[in-house]
This record gives sequence, C-alpha cells and structure tokens, in this order.
Amino acid sequence: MKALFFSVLVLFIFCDTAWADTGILRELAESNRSYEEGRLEEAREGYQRLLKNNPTNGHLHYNLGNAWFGSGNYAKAIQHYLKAQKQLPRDEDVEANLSLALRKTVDIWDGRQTSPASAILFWLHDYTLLEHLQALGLLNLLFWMTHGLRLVRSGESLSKARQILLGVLILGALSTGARWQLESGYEVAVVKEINVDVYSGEEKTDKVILQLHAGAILPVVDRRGEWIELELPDSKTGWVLEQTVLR
Amino acid sequence: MKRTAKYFYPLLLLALLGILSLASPALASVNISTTIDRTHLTLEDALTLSVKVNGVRESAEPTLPPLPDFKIEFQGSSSSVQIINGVMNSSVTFRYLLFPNNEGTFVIGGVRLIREGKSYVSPSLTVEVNPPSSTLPDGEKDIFAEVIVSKTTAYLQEQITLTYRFYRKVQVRNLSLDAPLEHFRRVPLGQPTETGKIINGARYYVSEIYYALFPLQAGVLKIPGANFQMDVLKRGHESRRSFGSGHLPNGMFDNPFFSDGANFERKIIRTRPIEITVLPFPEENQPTGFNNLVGPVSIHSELKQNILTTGDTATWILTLKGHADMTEATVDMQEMPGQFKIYKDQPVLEEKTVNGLLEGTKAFVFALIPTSAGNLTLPSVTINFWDTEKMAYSSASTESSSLTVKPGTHQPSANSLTKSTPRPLSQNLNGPELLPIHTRQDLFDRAGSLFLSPGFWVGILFIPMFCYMFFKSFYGNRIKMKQDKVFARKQKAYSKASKRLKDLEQHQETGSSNAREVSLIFREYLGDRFEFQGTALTPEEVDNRLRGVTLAEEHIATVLDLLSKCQTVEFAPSDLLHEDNLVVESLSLLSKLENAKE
Repeated sequence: MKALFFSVLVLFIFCDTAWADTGILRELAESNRSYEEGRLEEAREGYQRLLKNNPTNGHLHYNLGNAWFGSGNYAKAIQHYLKAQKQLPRDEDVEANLSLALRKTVDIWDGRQTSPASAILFWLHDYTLLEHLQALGLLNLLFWMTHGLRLVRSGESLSKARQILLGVLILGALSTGARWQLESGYEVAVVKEINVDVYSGEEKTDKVILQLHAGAILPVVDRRGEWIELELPDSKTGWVLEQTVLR
Repeated sequence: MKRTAKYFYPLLLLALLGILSLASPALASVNISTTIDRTHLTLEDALTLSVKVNGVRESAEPTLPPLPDFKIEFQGSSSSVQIINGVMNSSVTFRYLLFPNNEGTFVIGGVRLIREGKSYVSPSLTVEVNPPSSTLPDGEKDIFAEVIVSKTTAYLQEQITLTYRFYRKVQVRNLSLDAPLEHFRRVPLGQPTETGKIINGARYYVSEIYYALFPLQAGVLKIPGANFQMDVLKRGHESRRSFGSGHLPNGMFDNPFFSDGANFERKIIRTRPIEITVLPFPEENQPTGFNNLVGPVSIHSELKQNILTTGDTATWILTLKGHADMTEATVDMQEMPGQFKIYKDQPVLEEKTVNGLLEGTKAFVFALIPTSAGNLTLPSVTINFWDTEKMAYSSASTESSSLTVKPGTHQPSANSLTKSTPRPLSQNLNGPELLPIHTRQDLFDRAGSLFLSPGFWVGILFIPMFCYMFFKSFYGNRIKMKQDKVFARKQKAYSKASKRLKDLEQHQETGSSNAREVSLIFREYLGDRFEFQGTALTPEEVDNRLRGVTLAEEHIATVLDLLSKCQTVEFAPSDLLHEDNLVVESLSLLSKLENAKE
C-alpha cells in the first residue's frame, strides 16, 4: 500500500515537472529566433500560439510585448507588459520596457493605482497571488505543526511560537485576500485606437469630454453593454466603446 | 583526608553566608557623599565629580544640582562591597566629568537621591575656575587650538571657509571636536588633514578641519567657540624612559597597547568666538526673478537629440556651476505652447571641493515632447546672480538651440490630456534601449502545472488542518487508553472478542465446550463494551444490565437469543442443535453491536 502511494506520488511530481514537451520548446526557440531576426509577425504568431497553452506565463507575455513594441504597436505592447507584470511583479525588464513603451505613447498616462492596503501590506504589489498562497501554505503548515506539537509537549516557548505564527498567518491571510481582490476586482484598460473619444455618458450623442490616444492606461470603473466606464486623469470618469480599448 | 576535602567547600560557603547574614544589618545605613578630584582648575581642565551612595548594593542615578557653568559628561558607575571586622559596607559610585564654561568660583550644590521614599542630600562643594594658561607663548604650550575664517564680512549665501586647527606637541588620544553653529549652512571641505609646524622652535603636530559656510540670514552672526576634547598625557610621564625605547624604533611605545599605566588627563580647549557681518543683497538694480544666488555662476545647455519625430522625447539638461550654495537654485522654464510639452525631472545637485572651495553643480533635466513638426528653437535661458567679484548683479545665459522635428503618426489635440497631469519620469531620459526577450527554457517549461494553479494551493491549505485533526484524534485516544482502563477495555473489546471467535472457528471444536466458550467470549465482550463484569452473569442478568444502557431493543433481543442458544447447546444433547452457526452468528452480532449507537 505504501509502495503504491509513493509510486503514485513520484509519478505525479514527475509528470508535473516534466509537463513541457519538446514541441513547445521547439516552437519557443523558433519564435525567439524570428524575433531576433526581425521577423516580428512570425514571432508574434508563435508567442500567441504558445500563450494558448500557457496563458499565465509572464515571460511569454513579455516576449510578445517586445514583438509588438518592435512592430510599433505600443498599445498592444503595453497590454502584454501589463499581463507580464501581473505574473512577474519584480521583473525589472518588464518594468523598464513597460515604461519605455509608455514613453512612446502620446498621452504617456499610466493611471494604475496602488491598493490602499499596500500602505500596511507593503509587499502586496511585489508578490503574485500564487506566491502569496504558497507562503500562506507554508505558514499554515508551520502553524498546525506547532499546534500538533502542543499535544505532545507543552512549553512557554512553543506557546509563544504558536501565537507568533498565528499572528503572521492572519497577516498572510489578509495579504492573500487583498492580493486576490487586486487580481480579480481591479482591472485596467489600454487604449487601442490612435484617437479615442471619451464621452460623458453611454451614448454617442453625449458630450466628448476628452480625447485619449493609443497606449494610455486607465482603470475600469464599470461596464454596461458595449460601453466601458474609465477613471480619467482628473479623477472623473468617462465612457468609451469597448472595442476601442484592450483589457 | 578525602572526607575532609569533600565537606570543606560547602562548609566554607555556609560560613561565608553566615558572615554575610550577620553583616547585613549594616546595609540599613544609607548616606550620600560627593568628592571632586581638584578644587582649583583652569578653563582647559575637567573636573571629576564622584557621587558615592553608601549602604546600598545598587542604586538609581542621583539627581545633580543645576550646574549652568559646567558641561556635564556621565562617566559611568561602579559598586563595591567590603567586609571589615564582620561589618559589611557596600556602596555605589557615580562619576561625572565637569567641563567649566566660565571663570569664577562656583558652588556645586548637594546631590540628591530619593530612595524608598526617603531623600538623601550630599554636602555642597566649592571650586575655583581660573583663566586658561593662554598667557604662555605658543611655543611653550603643550596643546592649543585656533579658528580661522576666510572673511568676516560677506553677503548672504556667499561662501566663507572656516578652518579649525588643533596644535599638539604631547601625546593625546580620544580627540573630538564639538563645534555648534546656527544661521549658517555648513558643508565639510574634504577630510581633516594632519601636518607638522615649527612654532618658536617647538615642533607641533597640527590637525586641520575645513568647512564651507553659507550665511542664511543678514546681520551680525556669531560663530561660537568650538571645543576640542581629548585625553592628554601628563607631563613627566612622557619624559620617563620607556622600556626598550633606546633600542626600538621611535613611536612604537606610543601605541595604546603599550601605554597602560600612562597617566592621561581629560582636557578641553576652546577656540575664540568669531563674528561675521552678513550683508543683504542690494535692492537697487535687483533683477526680477533673482533667487539669492551668489556668483560668479555659469550656465550650460545640452540637448541630447537634435532630430526627432512628434511624440518622441528629447532630453534637455541645463547645468548651473559655481561656488554658490545651489540647494535653493532654480531655473524658470518658459512655456512653449504649440511647440513643446515640457516635463521637469528632479534636479541633481553635486558638491565637491576644488582648490579649497566648495563647487556646486546643479543639473535641471527637462523632457521635451514636440507637438508640432518643423524646425523649432529652444530659447536662451538666463540666470541672475550677485557677483561678488564685480560687487554688482550679473547674469549668465545659454545660447539658443535648434531642433528638427519630423511629423509623427498622430498629433495630440486640444482635448488631449493636459500637461498638468503627472507623468512617469523615472525612466532614463537619454533614450534607453528596449530590453531583450527572455529565452531561458526553464522559464517556460511549467505550462499547465498543477503547482501553478491557485486552486491547488487553496486546497493545500486545508491539508495540515485535517492532518492535525486526525493526529489529535489518534493521539488523544492513545493517551486516554493509557490513562483510562475502562475506556481501553471498551476500545479493545471488539477486536479481542472477534479474534477469539475467529480462533475458535479455526479450531472447529464442537459441542458444549464450544458453546460455553462462545457464551464466555460474548459476555466478556458485553462486559468490556458496556462497562460491567459480564463473565459471571446469566442471560437474564445480562438482559437487566443491557437495559441499563441505551441499546436498541432488537439488539438486546438478539444478544439474549444468542446467549440462550449457547446455554441450550451447552446443556442439551449435541444432536438437538447445529452448533456450528454459533460462532458465525456471534461474529455477525458483534459487528452489528459495534456499529450500533449506545
């Protein structure tokens, strides 16, 4: 029984770590080569195919962002750099290229806001949800281990360790919750079209209050039908058609 | 002999404890006394004040009286215990170093200690502070200090150099400088230097410390006297010939490692205060936009790109350079509507010492984004300053620069984001390159991994809790079984009975002995399970006991039926019943009872 259990476990881990097949790596190498040789359209197509299998890989989004950048489509480059940054929040390459792409835009506007929770949970934007969950899992394991140890032996230091771990675990849970909220409840849009009129309401007959340009990053406030409400630089909101922005 | 040695140390300890306990009443007498190491001193000397609290083993720090004419430095505390003729005296001594600020005769008031609600005060002491030995010519003094300023009259923000020099011809250690200063911005000019100088035939070592001062307000400003504090080797000690000094290189025994036992004396040397007359800037001919900059100051313009397209960024750097205090210097940039959007980055100030003066360089970086195509001209930028060489207002200007702007793909309109909106300018404005793609294969080979799924990790969170619950249940049962015999019997009842019945089934015994054994096993099981002594009970008594526990009626009936069968087989002729079913029936009933709720 034990042997069976360990066999299944080893097989499971082996299968998991050796997930990538040589076909994917070959396609990656070809896409990278296309990029290096300036065949940017081929590189883009390759990265997009790879992203279908692995949509959360930040490095693929980064490479695709570079390919779009090279093609002069800064809006799409920014969109993919933002997706890359979500997965690789501490990657300086992503930050630098995103900043560079933004400088190529007309508006040079990055309307992203930091979470108010980051005033206390200062690491909130530096770690992904997955990293938060992994840390929480480790803390949780340590906490329950000390809890279990208390059944076997008692002691002041063990009790203190348990209390400290409980405090850290609660902090970790709060941080994970805040990050979860950040990833699921906060959305930004990147202006796709060269010129996009921002309306005061959800009708084309409403007043145009601002004109945005490709590449501007704005937080999404609401969505109604084919209209999206964006938070504008003056802290007011305006409406744009959904097809004019990338999300 | 060994036996004597065995008891020697415990007896000695007991004797010591006895002496201490006898001596302890002497601790009750608490008093406080103060002593000073000298009653006459000069302004260059320091006075050691010792406050001794007798009759205590530990004490809070006593409160010194107000001593406005002295600078006080706490040196630490020590405690001592003495036993003389069976009387124990303990005391705590606090030591302070007092540096006199003024000449005259001063009374050091009583030092106060409040302990256990009682107040103890020491007697007062009198000291006389005389002028320093400055009457001696410079060549005869062991140590002395001086202060030098480059000018005593200056304009606001004009640079003045301040030099402190400390001369010594005897060995000193722990040298420190305390130079308080207000109403000036003070910047160190390089590192302190060490030189030698012959004064009146005596060789002195000279330590020099330089500062650049910038007056911050007009009027007569005072640079207070600075204090050099040090430990000076007393005369007589250095004249004593050190061991080996005739054979070993000079200076080797100056090493503190070898100077143990040398008698050092704490000294304080003061420099004279200096008055600086600070003149305000003349109001006559003062240019508009003048912001208290003192020159001569030069301004330099540098445009990083001369040719670009609309929407691209050009970096324009304006650099001010001079001996002025540049911290508040600013450059006003004129608006260039229709030509450029201008974004200002944080200015960068660098200060360094050049030819004994502080030279400031302040770079103002602007990001220019042309909004229209064509040949554009950057205007000349002028900076006004007060020229201390010409004693008049003067100005410096940049030359105008031209920029060729090619048309871009799109033009910002009037309704676009205005220039007042904040921009991310953290990026290097010199036009950094796009960083390359990521190519390491290990960054891409985890596609679809279960370990990358948040759901998996959420699930993982619950595993330690379940493990803990399982462990708690298992470990709790184990402990309870160790401590509670009845519980242990109850827990083991089923397995014990079941095993015995199975053994019986394998032996295939028949007849009355088999039925008796089954009945015995079953009654033992009932006793263990329902906490009564079952082996000696008849079926009727078992019936009564089982009704005492909350067992379903049908189970009780089945149990009684089995026990009756066993009794019948045990005492009836063997051919009347087929007793093989008894074991199987018992095993089946055991399972039912085990699963039944009590």
